[in-house]
Amino acid sequence: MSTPFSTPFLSAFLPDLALLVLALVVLTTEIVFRKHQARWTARVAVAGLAAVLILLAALPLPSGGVAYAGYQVTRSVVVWKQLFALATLATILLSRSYFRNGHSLRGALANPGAFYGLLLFSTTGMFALVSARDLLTFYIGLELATLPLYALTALQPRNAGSIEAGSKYMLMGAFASALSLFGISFLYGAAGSLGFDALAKVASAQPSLSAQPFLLAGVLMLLGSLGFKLAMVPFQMWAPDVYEGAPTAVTAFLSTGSKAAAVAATTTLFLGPLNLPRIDLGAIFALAAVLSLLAGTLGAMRQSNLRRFIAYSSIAQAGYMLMAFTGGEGSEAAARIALQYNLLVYGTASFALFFVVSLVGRSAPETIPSLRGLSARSPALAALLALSLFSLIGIPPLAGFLGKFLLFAVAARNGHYTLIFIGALAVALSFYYYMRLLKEAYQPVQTAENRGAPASAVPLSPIRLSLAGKCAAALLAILLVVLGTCPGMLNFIASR
Amino acid sequence: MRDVLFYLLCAVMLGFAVIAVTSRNLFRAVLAFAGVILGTVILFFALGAEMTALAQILVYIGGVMIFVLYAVFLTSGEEVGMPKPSVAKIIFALIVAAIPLSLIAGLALRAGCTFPVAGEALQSPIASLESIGLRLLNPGADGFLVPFELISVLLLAAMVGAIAIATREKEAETADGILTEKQEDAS
Repeated sequence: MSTPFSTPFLSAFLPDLALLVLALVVLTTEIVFRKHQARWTARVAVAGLAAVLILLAALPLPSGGVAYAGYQVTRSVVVWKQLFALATLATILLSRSYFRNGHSLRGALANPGAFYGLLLFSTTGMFALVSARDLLTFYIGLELATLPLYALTALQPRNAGSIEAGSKYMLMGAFASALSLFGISFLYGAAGSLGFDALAKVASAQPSLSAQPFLLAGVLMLLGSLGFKLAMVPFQMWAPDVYEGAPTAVTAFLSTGSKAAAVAATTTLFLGPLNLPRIDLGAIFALAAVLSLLAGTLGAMRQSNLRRFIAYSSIAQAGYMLMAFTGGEGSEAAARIALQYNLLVYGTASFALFFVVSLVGRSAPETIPSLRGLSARSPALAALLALSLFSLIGIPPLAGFLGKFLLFAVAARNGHYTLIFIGALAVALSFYYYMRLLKEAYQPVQTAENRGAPASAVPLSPIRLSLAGKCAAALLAILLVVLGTCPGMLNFIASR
Repeated sequence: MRDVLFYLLCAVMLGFAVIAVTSRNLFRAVLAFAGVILGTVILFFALGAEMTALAQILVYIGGVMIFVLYAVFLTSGEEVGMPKPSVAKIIFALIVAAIPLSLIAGLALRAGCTFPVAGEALQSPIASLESIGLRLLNPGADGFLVPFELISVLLLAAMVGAIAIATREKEAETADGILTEKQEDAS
């Protein structure tokens, strides 16, 4: 244990404290700036998050990590936090235009201070979640990460769908958190302490689960509640409705940041103190993976609404990521790396997809037919869409291929070849539903000239990107290619 | 004597629970539910778990019950009666109730009706208010200082979210009004 204000203490806690202060500052920015509040609030938030990212990358960390009052920071924890901060940063950049009128058919967002403040509070919760060393910190972190999201989902003014989605999400979330509390109370009964060390000791006792009913009940309940956050079958039913109703930027955050937090929470518990119960329950993880792949794939095929489509595709992605939890003993480090890499890649591709959706959504409903003629309206945007979809499918040399390969490799170590076969089948099927988007984008539009009649309600004016938009599109495209072709670069960044 | 009181209290709680579920009058059902919670509070006091009992009163009777009553009055108005549920609904509800019941009963049976306490829970079966407070503010390895501080952030986030949702419409309308005026000017 380190004492307050010593160097290792500061190096471990400074990013988290900075993020918390940033959230409070952003909340009050509205008071300082009378004009262009949304713009200034976003600028402050972006600058602050950049500072947090620099702190996370630059501060020295002892090789064993630092621990203080149930809070710990290790190298792997820092990587998680970088992922969360990046997702929040991208969400803020994506959300800026939604505060201006006429940039979305669904109406403009109001209350930038509350919007960005809540987003940063949620990120603070994610930071606490991965640093937890006892179940209490873990639970509070999980709540702090999800509670602001309920409010953010309901923040779209005068949109009944948004309010409905928010209340649905909150009810489901309340059920999930009651389930996790119930599970935690069982684990406390089994271990006699809330600490992860005591829990690991009890979980590693032989014979493990069959002789300890309290441990089994607690583990199953916690898995169920984390399944809600992961959108894993059979707890996935909230995802399409919430993804559809939430403001676009919030949907993007739900499918990247919040998904990363759910995976990180599952990793913290099930690749940490509950590692042995996870191996005993490998069949349940494999079954959940298969069912999620099935539900996501079949659901995505039938959607014409882009947000619902993304929701089902994210359920399928949860299925792929669950495969990393089916590895045997000794696969923990590989699983963690596979998940972190996969989330980075999936997040990049998702943001590229949302970037396109947000531009198309300015003048048309966010549906798949609205993408028609995108290649004529903006060739660069259509190319970015293609890159992102190819990466989501997992076509080499794009980043998604390596992500899926690493996940499958973890499952292969334990001989789960049936699972891998089903996973490969899901990849093949995903070709179909992702290609539907691309087909629309590259289909030649039957224009009014050669038909002699108005072609459709879809406006076909060219989409012009601002300089910032061009930079973002270029950056996303470069990341999708570079992450896949030279992933060793990440290693260089992580080792500093 | 103690045993008799315990079983008497349990019988009263079960009676309240049955009323809460079967009563067609919403208001009566809510009051009966409050009775169940009060019974739990007495049980906790009898066990010497004063902190849990106090929290139960504060959170459930002070907070949750009031909310439920508000919700009942705001939504139902004069009519507090509920229609009779269909047989299918009753069967479904019984199945849903049977799942947690069987889980808990199964656990109790497998554990031989004894709760296997371990570690620090064995040394002090029930924590006093004082020790809970000290533990919450202890920055040591077994303290809960960080989650304790995080709870205040959580409450702040909840408050900000609630205010943002509540004030949203008015601000949106004014902002919209200004902009539509501008657009009209432009056109």
